[in-house]
Amino acid sequence: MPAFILQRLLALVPLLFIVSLLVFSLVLLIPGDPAYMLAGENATPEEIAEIRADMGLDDPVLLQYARWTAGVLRGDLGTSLFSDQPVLEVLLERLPVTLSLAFAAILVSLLVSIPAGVIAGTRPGSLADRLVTLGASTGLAIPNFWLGLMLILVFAIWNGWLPATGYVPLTEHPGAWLRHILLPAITLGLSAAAILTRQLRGAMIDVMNQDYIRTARAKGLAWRGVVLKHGLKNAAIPMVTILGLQANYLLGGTVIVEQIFGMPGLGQLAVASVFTRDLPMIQGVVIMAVFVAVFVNLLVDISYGYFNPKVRPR
Amino acid sequence: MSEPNAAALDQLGASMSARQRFLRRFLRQRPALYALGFLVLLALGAAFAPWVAPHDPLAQNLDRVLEAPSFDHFFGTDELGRDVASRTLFAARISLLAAFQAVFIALLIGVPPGLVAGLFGGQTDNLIMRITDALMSFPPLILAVAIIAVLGPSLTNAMIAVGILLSPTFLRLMRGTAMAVAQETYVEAARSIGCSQSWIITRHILPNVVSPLFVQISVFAGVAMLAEAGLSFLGLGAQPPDSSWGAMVGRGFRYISHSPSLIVFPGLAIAVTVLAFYVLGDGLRDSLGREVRREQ
Repeated sequence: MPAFILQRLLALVPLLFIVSLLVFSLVLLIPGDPAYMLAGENATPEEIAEIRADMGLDDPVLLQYARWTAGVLRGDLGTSLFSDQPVLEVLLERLPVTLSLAFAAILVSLLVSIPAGVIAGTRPGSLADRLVTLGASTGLAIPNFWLGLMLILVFAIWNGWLPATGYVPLTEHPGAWLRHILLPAITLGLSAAAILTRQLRGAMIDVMNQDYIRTARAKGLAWRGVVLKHGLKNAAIPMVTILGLQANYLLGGTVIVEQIFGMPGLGQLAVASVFTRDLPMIQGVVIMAVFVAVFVNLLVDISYGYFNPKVRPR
Repeated sequence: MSEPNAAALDQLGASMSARQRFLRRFLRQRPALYALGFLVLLALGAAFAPWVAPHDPLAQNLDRVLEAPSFDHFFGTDELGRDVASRTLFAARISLLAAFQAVFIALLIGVPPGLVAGLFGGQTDNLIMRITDALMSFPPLILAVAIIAVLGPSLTNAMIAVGILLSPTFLRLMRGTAMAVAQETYVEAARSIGCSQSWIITRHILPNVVSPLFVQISVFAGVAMLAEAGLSFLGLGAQPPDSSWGAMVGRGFRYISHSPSLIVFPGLAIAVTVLAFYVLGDGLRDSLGREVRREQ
């Protein structure tokens, strides 16, 4: 097992190298003079010169890249052009918001997809199956920002059951955290639930046709036990992989959901930074997001090796 | 040009009958046909919007702002008294065009390197796939936001960003097909009688990838439309005076408690259209031959 983990970690090195190249080259993509664009339309020549000096934009590109990467490796992601705060400090302030939103969304997606997938997958072709399939397709097609607005309309504006915006840290007040995170988590989690449901339904249909299910039934085991113990347990293996892939999409989705629900997370920061032209901040958000995504996928890989010994290297 | 014409004709005949089989299976897919019908109607409605729309989408009437749906204004009016139904129809032009723009960019970026990776293999393939993996490790919307931050907020830039995000899937599809087809005996035969690489690509590899490519294009048109809507909702896509469905929802957000119809109808338009693209994609996939479907 440690060898397996080490192998996965080593595989990350070239990946992260290319990621760093891509993120760094964002500066190179800026049309025209980056210093001019970053300084804004009303900047004085002195301000432009200052930004140029700050970012070392006159140096050769390779040197810029080396300096930037060295900074990132030391945890120095630069300084915000907008607020002059260290980027990493701002990111770490906001990371818990985004992580708790993503985590709650994963929980929602599992709570929805496991029952729905099992019900549909054990009775393919039935009315329940068709309803679940239709619901999953609809869930995939509904824009999550629109779903979020509809939830706000129904649960916050018309009924006043839940707050429409804001965020309370879990450590401060768990009850208030739950009330604030519920609607955003449903908004973000339902599209993932749709994908997971489709996946689990397909896997359940496959598994339930296997010989060992017939054997389990034939020796008199109860239907429920067969479905949960023999069916779901085996059908869940591919679900872990899909869940890992979904982690990326969920992190991306926080951009929109945080904006709607006024949550001070990384996604909201990314959008705000576009309008303030705060490139170091955006690079920081991207690096942080990739870091989280890569870490989650590493955990998925490792857990996959744990659940399914066949994929472990010898 | 000394291309073997007999072989070409044979290949053409075989692909024609495969295409006919595909068409026959597709015509039996009722939901996909409905979806296609809806999309054609929508495209026609958008194309002929100036003649079809009940009102001028830009005509303001400050005496009748934020009205609920009525017989005169099916979807109500917005904060400037403009007809939401007409604006929704006109916004379809931008939403549809933007979706196809993104898919086109994704094809442009994804297909050639996929082909190269699949045909040449080795180090080239390795390098291309490493870059692809890195691109796929970014949370998609965050990467899109970063690209827009650099290029500046506009619909075209947003669609370039979405195109970049979608390109790895096309790349993988092309690579997989090119690799599989390159192993076939008939490609080896073509190569041994001296057919050029470009002949093999256009005559053997592209025909094999066209059907799965169409499935992916249909699904991705839906995905791109969702992404465009999300980015325009955030103010990073379509800029005024242009308006897409996502931008309409973004503007309506401010009046959500007073006039929910401002966000309900454009949002429904997005959901139904995206669903239609998905259902069409499913139908196309189910119409593919068994041998192709297995690779999907």
